Amino acid sequence: MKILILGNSQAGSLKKAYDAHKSIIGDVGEIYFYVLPGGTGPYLKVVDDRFVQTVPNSKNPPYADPPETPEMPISSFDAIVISALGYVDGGACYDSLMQRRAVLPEFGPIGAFQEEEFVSDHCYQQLFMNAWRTGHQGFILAASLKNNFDGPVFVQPFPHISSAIQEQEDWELRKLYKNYLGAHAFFTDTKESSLRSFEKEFGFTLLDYPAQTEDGAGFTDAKFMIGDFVHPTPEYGALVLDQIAKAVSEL
Amino acid sequence: MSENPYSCLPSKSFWRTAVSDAEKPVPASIYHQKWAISPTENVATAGSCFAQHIGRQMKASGFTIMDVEPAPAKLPTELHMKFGYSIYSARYGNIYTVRQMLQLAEEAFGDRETSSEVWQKGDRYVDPLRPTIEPDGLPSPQAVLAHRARHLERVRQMLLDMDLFIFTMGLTETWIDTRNGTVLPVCPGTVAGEFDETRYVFKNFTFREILKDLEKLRTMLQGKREGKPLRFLLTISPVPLTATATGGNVQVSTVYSKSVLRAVAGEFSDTFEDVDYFPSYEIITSPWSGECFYQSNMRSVSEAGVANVMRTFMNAHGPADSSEKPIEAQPATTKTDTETHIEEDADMMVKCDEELLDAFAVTAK
Repeated sequence: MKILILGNSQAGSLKKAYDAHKSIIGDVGEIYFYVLPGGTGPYLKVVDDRFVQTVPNSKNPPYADPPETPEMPISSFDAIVISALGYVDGGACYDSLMQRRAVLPEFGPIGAFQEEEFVSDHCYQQLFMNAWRTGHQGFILAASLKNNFDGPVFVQPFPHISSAIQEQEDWELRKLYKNYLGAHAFFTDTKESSLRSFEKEFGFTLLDYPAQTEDGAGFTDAKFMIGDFVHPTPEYGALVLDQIAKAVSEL
Repeated sequence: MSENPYSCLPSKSFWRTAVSDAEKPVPASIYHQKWAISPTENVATAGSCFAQHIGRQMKASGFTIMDVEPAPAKLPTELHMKFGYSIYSARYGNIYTVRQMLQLAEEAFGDRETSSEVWQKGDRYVDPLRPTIEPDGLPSPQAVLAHRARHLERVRQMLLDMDLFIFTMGLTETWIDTRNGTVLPVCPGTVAGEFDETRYVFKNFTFREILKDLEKLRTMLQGKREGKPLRFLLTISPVPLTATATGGNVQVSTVYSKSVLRAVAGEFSDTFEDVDYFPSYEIITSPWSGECFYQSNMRSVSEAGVANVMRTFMNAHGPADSSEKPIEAQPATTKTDTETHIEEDADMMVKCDEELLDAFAVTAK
């Protein structure tokens, strides 16, 4: 069985885990990686049974293993995994554009942010869905696969941000809201419900967050995340590979 | 025949030339504007649901229609109406009575204590003063009050910045909270909240009360604006009452209500040079057009009716070539399934929370 893992930089943890412990998933089939950096990616769509980059980026070229993976026909794969779909919170290092899209007054907006337009939570959820549907390349890829790939598609949700971010004063969300933990819970819930909605719409299978990594408050246990609070460790990647192996073996 | 007061009147003053022999369905002479509207002046719109058409058409024709609470970027257009955006110049929803408009202005300027009342709707919360702008309400009373405070800030800015205020008067009937005198846009217990007969009383405003409220609004705005010129353009909504609380027949109550409003508009516009009246009500309701501009429910205005109203308006106020362009009712958004219980008129595509009375009304006895 040929299993293709498409992803963004988050897929690095999967690749490292795979390189270290091929047996986690190697027993169920051959693994192929095709990865393009960028949290809202991978920037790919399907044209004539091949992947085409939707946003070519010479600064951050794609990574593939084996190298010929990008040229392979999509129909040659038996299953496809989209890694880390649903980027929301950039922590203290990256942009959190989804969280800056509008203001939720119930969480106590701070500074200049409070002068921007207020929206209701339900309106925000619509903004979320629409932003992902129209501008998030990963979901555009998911839609493209629905129409162009007959095999199963699995989606790994973008890992929750590290629990260690709560102690960081430069956490972007903390600069926006007094009740930043309440806002974080809202964004987490909105992300989950949106992913579930797209699961139905695009016909993919959404994997769970690895249970061992969850702290119950919408964060990933810090021991599974590296220092930038956003990217997971190879240990996290190994747990996801295990999930993929189980899902594929049940086909 | 000797000279008399009628002998030198224009043809529009005579029934035969202005109606019987005039072009159909709407004679051009039915409206002559008091003054022109510049494409660069700030126009604010508010009022009963029919007001939406004027703002939308004017915007499409290049006028500067204010929107002080715009929809968030990236919110799909078809969802604007659902969340109360892009309907009027601010997210106040329908303002049916002059008292409601006056009350809003007073709150916006801090001349009236801001209502802290919040209605519960299941596990969500609703602003009683604009109960339909959020389809599911808000998550907490605090959220309602925060949104209301921001709304009032924006309305205040609109009232200060506008050059022309287009206001469509819709109803004389309303419900008042006796605890604080607050006029409500909908009866408690219909959209949300609970009806308490010891607290909420029915009120049918009289000619004098409405005229006084309009004059008070005009005077207040003049004072707040410190002499900055402001003009009013009044219209009367031709949409009949969904229901009357007078105990009488709804058709009779409709005629009474609209007649009072029409008389007020006439008195007000005759008194002040900065107030004009546009006869959308006459265009739609007149039997002399030879056409019925209502849909089969005899309440919703037909697309042709809206088009005739707007053609008349734009012929008077639009760009020079506007009469050459076909004027059609401007659709606001595509309605969603969840809105169908609110608006029975799919073609008109105007959200009218008065319609909610239909959805919540008990079967007529």
